[in-house]
Amino acid sequence: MGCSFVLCDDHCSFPFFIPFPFLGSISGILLDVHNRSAELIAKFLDEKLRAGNKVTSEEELEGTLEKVLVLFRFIQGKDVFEAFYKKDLAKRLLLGKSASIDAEKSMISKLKTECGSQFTNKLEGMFKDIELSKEINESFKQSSQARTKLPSGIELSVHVLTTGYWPTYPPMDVRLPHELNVYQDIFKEFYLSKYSGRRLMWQNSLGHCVLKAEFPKGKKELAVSLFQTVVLMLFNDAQKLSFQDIKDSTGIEDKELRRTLQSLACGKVRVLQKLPKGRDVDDDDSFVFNEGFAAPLYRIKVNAIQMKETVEENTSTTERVFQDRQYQVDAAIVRIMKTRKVLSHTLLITELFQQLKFPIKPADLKKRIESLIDREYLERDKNNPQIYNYLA
Amino acid sequence: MRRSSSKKTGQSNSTSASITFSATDLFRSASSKASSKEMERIDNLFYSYANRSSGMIDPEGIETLCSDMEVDHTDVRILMLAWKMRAEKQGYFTLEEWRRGLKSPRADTVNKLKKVLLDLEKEVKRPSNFVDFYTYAFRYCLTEEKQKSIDIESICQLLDLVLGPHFRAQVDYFVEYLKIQSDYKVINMDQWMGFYRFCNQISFPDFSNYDPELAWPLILDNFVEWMRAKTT
Repeated sequence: MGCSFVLCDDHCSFPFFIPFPFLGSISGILLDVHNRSAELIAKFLDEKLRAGNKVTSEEELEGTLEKVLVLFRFIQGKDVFEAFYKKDLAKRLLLGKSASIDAEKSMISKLKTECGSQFTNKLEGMFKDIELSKEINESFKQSSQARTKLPSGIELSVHVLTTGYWPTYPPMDVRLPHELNVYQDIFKEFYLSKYSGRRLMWQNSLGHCVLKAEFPKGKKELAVSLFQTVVLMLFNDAQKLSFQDIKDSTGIEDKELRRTLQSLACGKVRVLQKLPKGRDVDDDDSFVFNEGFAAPLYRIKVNAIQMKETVEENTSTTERVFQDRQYQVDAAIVRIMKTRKVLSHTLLITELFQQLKFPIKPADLKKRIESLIDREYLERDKNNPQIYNYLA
Repeated sequence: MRRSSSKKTGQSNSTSASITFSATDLFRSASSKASSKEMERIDNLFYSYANRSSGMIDPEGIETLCSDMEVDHTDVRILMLAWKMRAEKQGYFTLEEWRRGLKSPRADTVNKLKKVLLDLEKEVKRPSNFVDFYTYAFRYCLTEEKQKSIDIESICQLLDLVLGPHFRAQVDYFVEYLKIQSDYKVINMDQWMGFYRFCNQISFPDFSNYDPELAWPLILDNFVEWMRAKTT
């Protein structure tokens, strides 16, 4: 939707009105706030399929999956389920959090039997990418680029994702420290030498690292997200940094940065200290390396935030599904009208309900019909406004 | 009758126009001598309001014209005049449009123009003409090239002006609704015409024969729902 405003200059006084010309049609989002069952069932599955939760035997897990499938049959908006399931599966696969790959694959084949292969194509594609990435990483380790350019002691592994299969990740800005940029470039050079003509885009929000840290009370290995890494590495060169300093150096978006700093300084594991103390990150806060840090284990996980969902993530997932539904409705209307050429409103609505696989209100169908009239795909018949004509 | 007028630059309101007649014109010229003089006066009237450099009557000229006719420039009758002329661009009249509008009523003086306005009201009211006028009114307000919709504020003014005199209650309520709703920021031609059909066909204020399952534009479904909620 584009809008352009025309300001009349004071010299011309139009005799009638001074309209602000708006271009474009009204687009509405079909939001059904009550349809959370699909989202909740997907979340339940995520918990079951994730590692580190209640230890369930393979048999028990299978039984649970079967029961979930029964519920799944009742879900009206299966596309919402697919979007959430896909998002959670992606996280599990990329962060290595699956309890059992067999269980994952079992679930996919159940969904495939239930809904057909179109439903599970992309999900299966994700597994293929993971397996292919393993092979690529093996080659990379043996490659000349890795052996000559990557410093010893640095282990780099990359998941290469095919854009169409995976959820869409919003680009997240971050200024990586020089060394990390170099490592990324080394891999990119290797990859493009094998697969020329491909476009690679780094998804920095999904990256994670293991950092070796030397605390006075003992050396530790920290399993952290890439964003956490970028923040922590700043403290290689400085004892104390203000929130603003960190923001300027890392270029991380405000909300995301606060979350990241909270996870490092305000949670259970505090590798940094926040001054003044407190739960929230305020503009005037400063951070210091936590000299007194101690923990029983050698390897410590601090990357939990990547597995958690933000409220924004969930809203945007649902919104994307609804946006996609809009396109499907438009396509169905055009398809029907193209075949029938002339059709009454009530018959068009009936046909649409037959063709569309997700729940939708008649008012929303009207909205899309009107949008198509506005875009001149159809018109109302001049003699009978209850009838639509297809405009070739 | 073909005529070409040559305007010399720098001169105001050139009254010297060269008239060329074709053979058939000469044949009719006897009876049309009176009307050719009339055409000349109609043209002269045009030029007395026209902008010298553009050769058109512009918004300023229209304002002058309106004050001469003792009509407010926001008066619906000016819109009717534009309709009669089939004027294309809001706020401007070309010579061709001027002639088109004034030829049959033969308005060659300001006083005659005033009478034209009175007659126009009657002419527009005729059912066969009103739909045309109503449609024209919407199109006239589309000032940008690819523009298809008009903002709510302007629509409210236009509805009041054009449809208010005929369906006062419906228009007043609908305007009130348009101002408080937030689903639509603009109105398109389909909705504009839909409202006209609505006023003509739907029983008011009970809406007993309104069926939202029919192809009424959604904005009207919402309007009826709002009205029904108001009265309960």
